Amino acid sequence: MTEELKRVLEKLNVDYAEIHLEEREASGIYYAGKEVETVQKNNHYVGNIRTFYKGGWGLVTFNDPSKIEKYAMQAVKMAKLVSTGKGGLKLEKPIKKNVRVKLDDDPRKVSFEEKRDLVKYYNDMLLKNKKIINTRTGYSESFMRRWILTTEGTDIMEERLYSGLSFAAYAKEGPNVQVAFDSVGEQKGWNLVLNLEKKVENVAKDAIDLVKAEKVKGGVYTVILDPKLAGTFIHEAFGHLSEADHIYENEKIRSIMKIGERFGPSNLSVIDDGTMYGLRGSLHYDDEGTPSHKTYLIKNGILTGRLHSKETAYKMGEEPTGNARAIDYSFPPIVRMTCTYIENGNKSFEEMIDGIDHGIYAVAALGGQTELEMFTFSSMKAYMIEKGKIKNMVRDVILSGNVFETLKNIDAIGNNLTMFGGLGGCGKDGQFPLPVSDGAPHIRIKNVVIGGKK
Amino acid sequence: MKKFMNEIKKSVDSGELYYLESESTPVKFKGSKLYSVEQHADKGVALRVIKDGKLGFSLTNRSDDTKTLLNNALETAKLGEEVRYKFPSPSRYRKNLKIWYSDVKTLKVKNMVEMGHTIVNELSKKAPDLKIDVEMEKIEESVRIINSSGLDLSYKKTYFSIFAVGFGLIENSFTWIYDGFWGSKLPKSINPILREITRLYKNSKKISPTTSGKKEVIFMPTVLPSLLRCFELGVNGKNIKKGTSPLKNKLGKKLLDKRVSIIDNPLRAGAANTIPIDGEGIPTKKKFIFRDGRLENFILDLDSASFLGMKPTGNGLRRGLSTPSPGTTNVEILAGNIPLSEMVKSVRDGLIIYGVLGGGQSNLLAGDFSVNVSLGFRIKNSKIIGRVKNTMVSGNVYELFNNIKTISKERKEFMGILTPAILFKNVNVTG
Repeated sequence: MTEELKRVLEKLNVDYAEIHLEEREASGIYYAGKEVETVQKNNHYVGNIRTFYKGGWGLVTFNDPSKIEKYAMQAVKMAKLVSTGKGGLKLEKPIKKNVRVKLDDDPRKVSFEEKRDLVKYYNDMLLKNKKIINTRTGYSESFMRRWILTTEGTDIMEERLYSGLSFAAYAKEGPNVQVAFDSVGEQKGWNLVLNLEKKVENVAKDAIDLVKAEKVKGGVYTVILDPKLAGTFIHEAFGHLSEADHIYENEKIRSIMKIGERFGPSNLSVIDDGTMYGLRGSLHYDDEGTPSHKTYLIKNGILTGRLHSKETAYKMGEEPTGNARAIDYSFPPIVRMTCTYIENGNKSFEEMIDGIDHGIYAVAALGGQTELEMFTFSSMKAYMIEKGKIKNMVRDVILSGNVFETLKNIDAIGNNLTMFGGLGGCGKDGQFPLPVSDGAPHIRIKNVVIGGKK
Repeated sequence: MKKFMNEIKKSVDSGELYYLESESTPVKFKGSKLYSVEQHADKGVALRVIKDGKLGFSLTNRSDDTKTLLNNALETAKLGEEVRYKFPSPSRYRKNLKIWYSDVKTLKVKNMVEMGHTIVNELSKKAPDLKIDVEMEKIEESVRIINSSGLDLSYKKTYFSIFAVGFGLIENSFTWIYDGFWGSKLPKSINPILREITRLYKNSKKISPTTSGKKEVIFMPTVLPSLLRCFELGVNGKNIKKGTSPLKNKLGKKLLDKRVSIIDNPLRAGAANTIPIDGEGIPTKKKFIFRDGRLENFILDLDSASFLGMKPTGNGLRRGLSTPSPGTTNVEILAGNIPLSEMVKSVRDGLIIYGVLGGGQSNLLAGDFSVNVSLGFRIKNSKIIGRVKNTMVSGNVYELFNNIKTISKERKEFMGILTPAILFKNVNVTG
């Protein structure tokens, strides 16, 4: 098969072309409340041919590779239509590699019944609580095999096996319904989803406590973000601005995101690292066949790098960083993050909370949205901090602000970096969910605007 | 396909095959330049089976590998949800509903590129501070549903959309202004999009100090969809079934201002989500969700309807080949009786909002919202005096829709949702 595809590539009269093929087997089992909500087992087969000619891209996606020659001609026509007559790609040395999944605890060896039993076990733990009126607990697993062939001569096959478990609990009192959730999801095999009792119990407790929690009062606060929310913050508010496609397309961001400028305190370092072992956002090769990288975005408070594809690297005179990714091959690769995190500082949580007279401890993310430098995030739960002590839980905490001001307002960084994967992912240009990880230690930020009732 | 259904019937109580074939052509302009042209040919089949009262599901893009598909569905049915329904037998539906337009079918990539260039060039002339992104897409889709109760229905549908965004620094402040078109046919003209973006651009040139406190706020049709999301979740059969919706026992109750009627209309001519049958083969129909403030209908698929002992409403929608789930089609709010210009004049101190950021983060089921105003203007003494920055509005939709001052006569469709502008009293504004 691949020999035939290579011959198709060789014949094309373009600057660069690649063929992607993907086989995927996905299965999942979800409980909602007492009942099974869905059980499914799916097969996907999808491919595309992407061509580049003097600044223009063409892309044709398909489920049936037998017509590849026809699709290739269409893709060439499109690239020539879009071409501006100039532009190029940072081409690389060809790579020939097969990457196979090797796991002692390969979840594919575990029976569907056993997976169901485990989901039911955790789900029953949530339902034991009378105030929990609904749940959503599920296991999902996805094995994929991806081929990347390029006109550089690259010929890569990479297997990946994502699996994980998620659980949400809904508690109700009168008309007030509140939800709490947590999840695990990595490329680490079956053991990852075992022994989660503590996490499951915490989720039930959080949902019940949230029902009783008061809405936060709007205002300006000193806020401590827990590692999960801090990870979401750095991914959403800053990470996306480090994606070079945003930078070269947008003058405003280009004028701000200057290498060498100060972006935060001297103990702040932010990294995107696709090479970390077995995390949800990890990969060996990106979808243009570039090996994954560890890229410092901010080092000691100074902007030092950004994330590239072959195209953005060419446009900005830099090197590809292994960040060209597609959620599946019905989409083209675009610049995306992998595992993005804030490096450890040296403060303990106790040192960070000490001295906060009136503040908020915000934990885990419910959602978030950014528009360039402006962001808004809501935490899943939060606590008031009074005179250096954690006090009552509050809900509906929505943080908003300008990311650059907020980064400069980070005045303490903890020492407990934790990475989070899960079963969701990141969305960009209609491609959702892309498996990513993010993380951070606790961070403390001054002058955060919290929306809410007055 | 019929043959495959006959084979399926041998090993299950009942079965349903859903075939989807689509061809889509997205054309994108970024930063005022043509950026990409793509073509997607997708084809696949989803199978639901009920065996021993339990539901199994599998889908594949390898339509020829029927054996794996059936085996996977049977395997999942062993652990599946216990269901109380049967797949529906054929019933009367709007077979001749027009959802296939030849002008979309014959539209060439070349024409789309020209249309995009026109949008970019016209807007660049009128709004020189802005860079223009345009996304256009044409889709042709064919669906066939066959089940073991004798149903065998199919339709072909076209779809066309344009989304144009102007963005850039205006008066030292970053601004996004957008508008678009969504339909099953081509728009008569792109001029309304050009006019709206140009008008908002001109208004954006002046910045005004923001305001704070309980204010009168006009929500324009471009932002009402983010509030309607709360109602959609509230009436969604899945949330009713699970008891998480605050509307669970509220059918027939008056919950909103009596001037508010919200409709789900899958039969609206030329609209984006117009369909004759839903993803389970149930005929679709126009229905009031709220009529004169009174809750009249839930949005139900087979599963939630059977659980609640009600009739399915023809809202079992599928995203691609996925399992059906209750969803709205073309939502509309009925028009009021006051011209928008009068509405603006009636405000002494407040806001008019065209764009928000951060919808979807609050407790939507409970009706809470809290959003950042990404494009909004201050109204003072009946006049729009300038654009506001760093402003949040928040509240609860069930309270808000009982605090309506006026509803506009004019309506506008945005992302398939057709609404008037609504002026609310006592909205929380944080500046």
